[in-house]
Amino acid sequence: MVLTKQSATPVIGVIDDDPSVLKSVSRLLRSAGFSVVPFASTEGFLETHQSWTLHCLVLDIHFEGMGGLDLEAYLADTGVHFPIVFITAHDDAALRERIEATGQAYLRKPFDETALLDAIHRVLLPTHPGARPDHN
Amino acid sequence: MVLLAVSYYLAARLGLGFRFQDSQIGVVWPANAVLLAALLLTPTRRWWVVLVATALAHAVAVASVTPAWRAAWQIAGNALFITSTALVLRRVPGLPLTFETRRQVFAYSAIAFVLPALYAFTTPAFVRALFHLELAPGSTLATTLLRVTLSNATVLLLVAPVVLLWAQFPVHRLKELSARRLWEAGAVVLSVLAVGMVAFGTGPEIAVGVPLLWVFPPLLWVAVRFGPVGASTALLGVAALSVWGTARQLGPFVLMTHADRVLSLQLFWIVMCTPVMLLAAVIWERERVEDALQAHRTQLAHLTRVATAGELSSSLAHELRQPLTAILANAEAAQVLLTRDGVDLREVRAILEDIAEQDKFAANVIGRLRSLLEKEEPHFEMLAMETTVGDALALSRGTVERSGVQVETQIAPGLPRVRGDPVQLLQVVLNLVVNGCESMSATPAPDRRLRLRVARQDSEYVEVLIADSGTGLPQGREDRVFEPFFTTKKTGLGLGLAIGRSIVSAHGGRLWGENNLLRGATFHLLLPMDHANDGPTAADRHRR
Repeated sequence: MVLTKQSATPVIGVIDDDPSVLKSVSRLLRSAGFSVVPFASTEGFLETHQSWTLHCLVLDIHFEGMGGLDLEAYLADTGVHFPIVFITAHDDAALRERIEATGQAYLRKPFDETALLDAIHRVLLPTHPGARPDHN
Repeated sequence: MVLLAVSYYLAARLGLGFRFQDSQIGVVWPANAVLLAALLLTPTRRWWVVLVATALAHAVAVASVTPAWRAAWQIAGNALFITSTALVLRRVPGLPLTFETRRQVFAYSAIAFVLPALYAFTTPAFVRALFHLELAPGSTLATTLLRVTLSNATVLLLVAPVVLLWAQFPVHRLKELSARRLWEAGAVVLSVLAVGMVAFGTGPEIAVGVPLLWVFPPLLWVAVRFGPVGASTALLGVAALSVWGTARQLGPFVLMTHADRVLSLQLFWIVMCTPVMLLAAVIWERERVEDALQAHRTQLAHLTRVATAGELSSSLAHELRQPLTAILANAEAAQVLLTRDGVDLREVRAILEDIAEQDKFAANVIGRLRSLLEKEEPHFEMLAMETTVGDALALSRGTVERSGVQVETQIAPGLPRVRGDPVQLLQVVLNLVVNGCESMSATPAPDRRLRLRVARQDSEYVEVLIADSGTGLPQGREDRVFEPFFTTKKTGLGLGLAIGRSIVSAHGGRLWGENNLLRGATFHLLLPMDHANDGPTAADRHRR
């Protein structure tokens, strides 16, 4: 799972177990010009993510079962690294620092479009410099 | 004041009707009760108005039957007697005089004997008898004294409480009475009447003995169920019936000589009065204590709910952030869509529907929070425990999620309803869920499981079972967690389970915990099913 192909519209995987958040964030990203693949759980993501070429993940931190951070660690163990925008409805300053120190992004819900797109660009840019989506 | 003068006048005319044919001493002088009640309900600086009004009414009422000197003496004497009684009553039992405590009834009864006895020495009847000016045939100084004393004591014991209590009675309360209470009141009036008729309205040969005792059961009924107001009124009713019977030469009292008859009637009333009023006061006091206890429990339950809501605040913030995230993302997506050529109206409509739905979801979160915070009187209704469990899980979702706990819910189909206060039961289940989550902080993440099961327990109960895999209960002393202020948490009052148990017992149910074989604890919450026509539950009875 390495970014081999430069695509005009980056593909973003959204993973959240709250259906309303999953649907609306996917919608927002699509309207911003991204391609979006939604996943309702971390387990579901692990099973099927290889069918897509994903450039970035928007990943909820808290799940029943495997959480967002567990998923990142698991992927790292298998040698897979995604740029990730972590999203969470909990306030946790320490966690934010830890995550941002690794170069990933941390967004507290609710967030607006600008914040989300900025975060995506921030995590995407180092690996995917041409990936500015053509949103108006 | 006009009203007072009129009532005094009427009471005085009534009193005149109650006199011996052969004596100046009345059987009762109800006008004194009116005067006493008026004084007790008026501030002392306005007493002179009361005294003037009643004096005038007295003069008018007795003008036709009493010489002027005697009327003046009566007015002065009564005024002195009742004023001093009122002064003593203000001081000793204290105002307002409600006859709702044993202390008041004791003090009042004592004063109602002692003062009339002292006053008797100053009455025209006694003074004239003392100087042998006028002595009814067959009476002595002592009997004159006794008659005057009893006559006045009767007024104070039998009539004054009724006048005083009804004058103070908040009439609007009558409108709030339930139909059941009204039926009961009707039944009790009928039974007092019926028993009174039998006891006092039958021929003397039948009436002597047993029927007289029959007046007590209905009197006790009133005392137990209708408080001092009801008891004093019923006592007066029985007294009136006894007068009515005796006047028609019926009932047990007519077998005696005329003088003895009146004396026995008065003694009968006095003997009847104090115990019945005392019983009413004791029951009343007891019920107030129970009410106060209930109010405290409600207050404490509310306090712990507020504390729980405080502990849940981050969880609730989390619950609100989900729909807010969705609403914002949806709205911004729609804004982008609308700037495009060839707007996809179907998509925009779908987005707006989603926004409306998420808004309602957020409103529900707030509604549940408010139900916890609001200070409402407990109210019982039919409810489904599965709903309560669902609400508790919704309120605690943030906490559950953050503690990394997996929740398994198992709800048996076709569960019967229970009867209870939805907020209080929500509080109990919520508390058990949050406790369960917190007890598992030291448990390895994959093992953090909270199992909830709602099922029927034999034919009587609905059981909510909440099992965790946390630290468990103190070994051998599992029940300690239900003691107030027992807590293993860093935050929290240590009242949650204690309050929970008291709420559940007030619902006629049971709440206990036990340790699991391997790890953690299981709490059992049993609530009685609602058998629709099985009569009132314990909770209902309490809320009478």
